[in-house]
Amino acid sequence: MANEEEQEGAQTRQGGSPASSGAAGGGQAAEGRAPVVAAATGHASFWPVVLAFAIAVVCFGLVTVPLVMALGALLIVVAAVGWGLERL
Amino acid sequence: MRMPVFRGKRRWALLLSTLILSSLLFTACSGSPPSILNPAGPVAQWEANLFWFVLAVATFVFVVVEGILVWSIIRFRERPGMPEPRQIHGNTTLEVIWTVAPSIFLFVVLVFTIRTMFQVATPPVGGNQLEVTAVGHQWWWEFDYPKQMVNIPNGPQVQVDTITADDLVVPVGYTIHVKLYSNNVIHSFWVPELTGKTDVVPGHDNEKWFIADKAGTYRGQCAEYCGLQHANMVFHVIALPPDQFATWVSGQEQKVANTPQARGQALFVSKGCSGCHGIVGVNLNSFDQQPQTLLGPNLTHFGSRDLIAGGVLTNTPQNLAEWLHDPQAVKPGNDMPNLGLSQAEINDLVAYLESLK
Amino acid sequence: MATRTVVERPALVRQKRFSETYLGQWITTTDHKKIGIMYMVTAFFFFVVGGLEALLIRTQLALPDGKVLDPETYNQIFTMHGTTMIFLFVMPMFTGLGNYVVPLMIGARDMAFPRLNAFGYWVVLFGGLFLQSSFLFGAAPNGGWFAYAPLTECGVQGVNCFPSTPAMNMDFWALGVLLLGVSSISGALNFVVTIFKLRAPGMTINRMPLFVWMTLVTSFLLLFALPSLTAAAGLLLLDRHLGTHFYQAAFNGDPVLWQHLFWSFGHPEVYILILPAFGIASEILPVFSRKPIFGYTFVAWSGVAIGFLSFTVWAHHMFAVGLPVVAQAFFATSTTLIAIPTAVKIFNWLATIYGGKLSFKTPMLFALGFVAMFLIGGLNGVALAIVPVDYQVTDSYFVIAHLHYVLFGGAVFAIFAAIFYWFPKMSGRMLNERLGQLQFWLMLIGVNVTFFPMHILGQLGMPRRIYTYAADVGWNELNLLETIGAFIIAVAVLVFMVNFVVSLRRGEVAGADPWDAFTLEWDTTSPPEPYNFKTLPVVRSRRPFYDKKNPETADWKVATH
Repeated sequence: MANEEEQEGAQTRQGGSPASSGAAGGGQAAEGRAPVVAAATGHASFWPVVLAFAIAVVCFGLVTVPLVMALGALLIVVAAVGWGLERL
Repeated sequence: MRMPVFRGKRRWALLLSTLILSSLLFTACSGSPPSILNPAGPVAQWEANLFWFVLAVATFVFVVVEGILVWSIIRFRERPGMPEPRQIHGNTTLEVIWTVAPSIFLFVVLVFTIRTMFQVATPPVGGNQLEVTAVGHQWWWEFDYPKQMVNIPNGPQVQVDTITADDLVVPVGYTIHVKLYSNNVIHSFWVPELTGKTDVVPGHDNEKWFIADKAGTYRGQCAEYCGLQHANMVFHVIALPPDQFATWVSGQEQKVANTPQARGQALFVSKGCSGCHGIVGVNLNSFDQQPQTLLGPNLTHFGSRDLIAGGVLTNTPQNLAEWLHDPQAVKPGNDMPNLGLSQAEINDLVAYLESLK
Repeated sequence: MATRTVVERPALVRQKRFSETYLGQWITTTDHKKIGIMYMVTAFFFFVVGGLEALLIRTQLALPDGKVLDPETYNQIFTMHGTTMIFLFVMPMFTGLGNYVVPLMIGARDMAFPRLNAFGYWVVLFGGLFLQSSFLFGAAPNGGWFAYAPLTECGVQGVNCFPSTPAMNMDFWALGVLLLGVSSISGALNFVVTIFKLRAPGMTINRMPLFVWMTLVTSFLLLFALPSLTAAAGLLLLDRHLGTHFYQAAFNGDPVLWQHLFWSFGHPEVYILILPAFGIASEILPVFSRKPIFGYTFVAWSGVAIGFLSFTVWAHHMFAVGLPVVAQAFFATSTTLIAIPTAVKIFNWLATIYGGKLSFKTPMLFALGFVAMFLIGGLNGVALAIVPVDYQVTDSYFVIAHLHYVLFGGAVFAIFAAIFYWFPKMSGRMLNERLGQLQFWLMLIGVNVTFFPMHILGQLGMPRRIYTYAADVGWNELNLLETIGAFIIAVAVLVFMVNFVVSLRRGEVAGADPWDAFTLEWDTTSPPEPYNFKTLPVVRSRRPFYDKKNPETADWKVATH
């Protein structure tokens, strides 16, 4: 029976809590106002899937041909750099 | 929400016990399985005793705990008008009791466990002993009896010095010291009615001992996955009364004379069998002269064995013919190639090999 | 259940970014809820794969001298059955569940490292596909799921065993588990940081849900156990490809080294496979008994104790190897010790339902079934700890009985309990109750018919990992019975799949709190908004949502903690 309307105005905890880290900042309920939805969603990124794919390619190369392994290794470097430089 | 369809949860406990009991009825319906609860020697006996003890305790705990579970399910099931239960968060005294009580009990069990472990690990000193080395191959067992004198009660001493395969013949009542050797992969030597298992590990000098208290044939099987034909690495421990063992030994020591089955013997050499198999008196001078290059079982007294090729077949002329006709069809992946023998050649070889008593 | 981000800007007409398409949302998401769902769906797919492998095994063994599978295929199938079920089903399923539920339970917006989270999932998918692709090469791993050397090095230079030419099979295995280890480590790291740093104010460690506790302990186990597997598999690959001789006796290496390294991972691994199940039972039993867990502190700390002790027992998988007796006695002692916290938990669960008001919805059925079946697994585990008994029954069907009671009767039952419990939260709909009941009973019967007779077969001398058996040994009837049981389980799984598909479309609408539960994940919509909670949850006890709904009898008012 969690009801958003009941929550508002009831518990007025101060903002700036640890619960907001990890996702885009902002969007917290301050003094019971409805949050700005847009900012509360996490930032999508394709580097995780690319890096995961790259590592799998390296493994695949180890059981097939070294060329595939080399391509995979290259992709790992690209993905790692991309991930590191990504602006969240 | 609708009420669940099934009521009376007692039913599942009944179901469970029925199934358990009925599965017991199925035991030993076909054949006579090598049961650990059918011990024929002291090692298996100690292990079986502990097993019965564990079984009794486990059954007791099972009945009590499941009983409490089932009883609670029935007693505390939701009924219309039932009040909210007391919100009990815990009870330290109770917690301590049911932590300490099982601990004490388990440690008592541990004491018995460790005591039996040392018993099993310590072979009896003195008395009649026999040494044999069990060699694990892929996928059959070789048994080397090093040269040793064996006393037969009320009889002469005999000298044992032989190599067999698949059949480990031992005298009843003797302490059998088994050295375990492999130069390929890990196997495991297990004869449930005589002893628990010990692995045969390349590079390790594992040893075990057992005594067969009564005469009989006891089934053993490799119990460590060793590759393609692990399933067909069976062996027999054949325990004979000492005087019969002596007879067997003297039979082993006799060189194989030129038998009437001369054609078969000639084929043994000409078809290349002697490249992998040794027969003392044909391509070996003695059992001491078994080179490592001979990959297959020593066949010197093949006619007196009851298993072929790691127990994939019992030793009958018909089965032997089937094996010789196409070993790969019988035990795919084993080390013996299909020699493309004609039926006439097979018949001669069968007659020869079965004559090697 | 697509959630759209509403952008409050003046209307701007542009193409949808890839990450805003339906497919793109899933591929680029870093939202723990989506990632959790992907983990769980993928894990279930591999459950079916592993299950089909099990059915093949049972079909081959239904009759003596079976000719359904040739020995090479059988050996590949049983190896892949174990490997798939452990690494591609149970572990990702619990990771996915934890991913979805843990941040909600602690009142957080997401995991601490969202991109790392996504990465962990994609590695499971690609790693799983890599491992399964070995079938396409005709070279699926065939060395058993624990891959003992030197069998796994046959054909490599100087290793004198069959197969005599080196084959790729075990390379797939070693690389596969290394890859999946990367995923597990990233997930574990994420959980540890999230649980330590992102709990809502007021939720001290001593107030967090037991599922969170168990996930925390599991994560530490992963972090400390996986390095052993990495070392073991790494050395194996070196032996196979770069001419080293770590496990080769002919060159003064030692096959037993493999076993020590592997089981140093392998034992904590089995606790990794069961601790989350303990957590699930500790959440569900209280809700459906309408009272709190009995002895929260003991249950939490027994989990921690199990975690520590799990590193001291590994050689109980090696009692038959020929280790010195004194060493065996040490491991017998440590194994006996670890039985104690496990027993304590069972008593606590019993005390939880005692005096309660029990309702038998499907989550509760599976949770109770879990307790009942796990007890059996625990008891036959104690039998295995009694070393001389172990000498007889290790490497036999008795062990297969044990491991399936704890893994199927234990972990899988808990997984289904969790699915039925949290599916409403994840999808907004209820799974069908009648089908759930049917599935439960079929599974309970199937599990017992399949695995109970294995105790007996082990005691009758049937070794494990054999592709067939002779007709005259005396094992025929029990094997046939077990095969029948396996097909009963298969029907139960089919019932579940039907239930899932139908309920997703036409299930009863769930609402936020269909079970009248106690923890924070129920204090938001079903499914939750991307940001999880609109306002910070208030936590003053172990059951913050219960407190909110029952202000007069709230735990923080009435209880001492």
